[in-house]
Amino acid sequence: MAAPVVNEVKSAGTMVLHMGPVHPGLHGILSLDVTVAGEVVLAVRPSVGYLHRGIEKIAENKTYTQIIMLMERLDFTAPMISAFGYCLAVEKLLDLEVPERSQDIRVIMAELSRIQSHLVWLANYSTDLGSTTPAMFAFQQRERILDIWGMVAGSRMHPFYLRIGGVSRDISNEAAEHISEFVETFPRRIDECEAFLTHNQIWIGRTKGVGAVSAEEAIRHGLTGPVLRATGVAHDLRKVHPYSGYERYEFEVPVRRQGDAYDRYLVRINEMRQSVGLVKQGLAALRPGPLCADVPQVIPPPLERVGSDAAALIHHFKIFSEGFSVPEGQAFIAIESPRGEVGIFLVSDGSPRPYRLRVKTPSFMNLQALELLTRGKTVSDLIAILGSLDISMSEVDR
Amino acid sequence: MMMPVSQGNNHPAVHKLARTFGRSVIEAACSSGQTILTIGRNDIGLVCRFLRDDHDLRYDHLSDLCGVDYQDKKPTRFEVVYQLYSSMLGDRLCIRVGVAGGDRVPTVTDVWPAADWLERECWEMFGIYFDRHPDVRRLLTLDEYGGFPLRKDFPLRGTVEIVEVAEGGVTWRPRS
Repeated sequence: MAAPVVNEVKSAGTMVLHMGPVHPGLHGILSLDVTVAGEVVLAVRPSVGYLHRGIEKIAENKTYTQIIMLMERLDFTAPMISAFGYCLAVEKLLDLEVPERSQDIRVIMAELSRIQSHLVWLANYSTDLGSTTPAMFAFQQRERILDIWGMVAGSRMHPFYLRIGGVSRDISNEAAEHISEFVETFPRRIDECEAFLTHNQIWIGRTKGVGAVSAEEAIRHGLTGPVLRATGVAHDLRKVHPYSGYERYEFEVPVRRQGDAYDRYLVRINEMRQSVGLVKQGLAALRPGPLCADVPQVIPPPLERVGSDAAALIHHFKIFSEGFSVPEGQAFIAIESPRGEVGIFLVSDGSPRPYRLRVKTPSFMNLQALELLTRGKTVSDLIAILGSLDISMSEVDR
Repeated sequence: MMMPVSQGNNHPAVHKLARTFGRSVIEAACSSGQTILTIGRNDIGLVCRFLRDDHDLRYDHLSDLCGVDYQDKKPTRFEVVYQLYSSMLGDRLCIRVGVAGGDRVPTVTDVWPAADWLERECWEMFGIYFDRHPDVRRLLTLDEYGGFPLRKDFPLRGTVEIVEVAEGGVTWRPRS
């Protein structure tokens, strides 16, 4: 991370254009040193780290339950997904089986997160490229998902809903009705957004053939998620290595061939449609049953008992003050976030705090490839390409 | 879904690597159902290239690369951990390399360009230097930042705090 400086003329005909750290087209605090010859981009050097909070270091000093909150702050548009991956990693080391009801609830929440994240992306990206109406439509729908989260978890932005071994509370009937009403009406709302963009000549002109990457290059540069699937590689961890019961669900993995910004857009649109199907199946699959695994060393007693039963109160207190120990070992879990592969690498030394918690985020890898995608393009394409990668800076900097 | 690959000592990569690199393969272990290979530090670049290009393995993705500070828990203080993924086998392979303080590790940026920022982050957080890396600079912290924050002997709240940020540079003072 270097301190920003003013624009400078480098050699005859070229200059360095400093974009950011605060710029409407950059989606977060990011600074780009762009070497340009006229309108043509010769090199891009991103400076990142403005949002670095040292989450990996902080996590080494927190109990396993407290870290869920940290994980939600990795990416504010899909908070439950990084927490999901983290919980799976801890559960793997604990060798803990999550009850089926909780697995389904987690899938429903993960897919709502995916829709939410894609909607925020669609809103920002269409605004970048000068089409503001679909942005309003998308944010309207996003608001409905936030309301659902408020209903289910008690908080709209950082729900803190997932727990090691399950989820914190059940979905009420009222919330379930809201979710099913949302998935019933939402596909029509996507159609409305698409009507503005998919066949719009301006949209096509700004995105088609822009920022194209081949499948081999994408894999070599570690690109994942919609960016990789737009190049024709049907790599979706929910399908290839199902977790949390995704093997029980029927869905397709949207794939496109050209690998350009337009294909990334279509992949995300189609992913939202698939997620709607997944949420419907999840709701239909919900059966009454326990929410958390029955492992008293890890799972606190239900809150109703804590107020009346002294033993339960002590139990509750011990888990939330000391935390619980996780057996020695290491685990790597990768799950499919809206942006690609989130990898959680957890090393435990048998104490109640992780010895090392590493989070590999898709935005980090995708942003790294920015230079590869933009070299030789124009500055206006740079904005179109950066937006199409769907970068979350809080996820890059951690 | 693909056929699962046998893990631990029977992992297909173990046999192949032992034949090609001999004593460089120090150990094959298994944790949480995933094979972990410990490789000699100097051969890591060649081993990664081999794993990527071998026709039966094809570990084409580098999912992650990170450092771990074991302090005195292990004979070498640090470890660099590589998470590889083969889309052909559908298998994740973990490779680790023991690094003592001051040791240099060959870069894998020539095998996967994806390793560029990952190695830079590993350098700034642990002080592990990657040989022949094209651009070893700090990534997330300021260029003039001192110390390696993810080392276990680095205090949680840091050692310095910023007094002033001006055009000439950043002024620091030790944290009391």
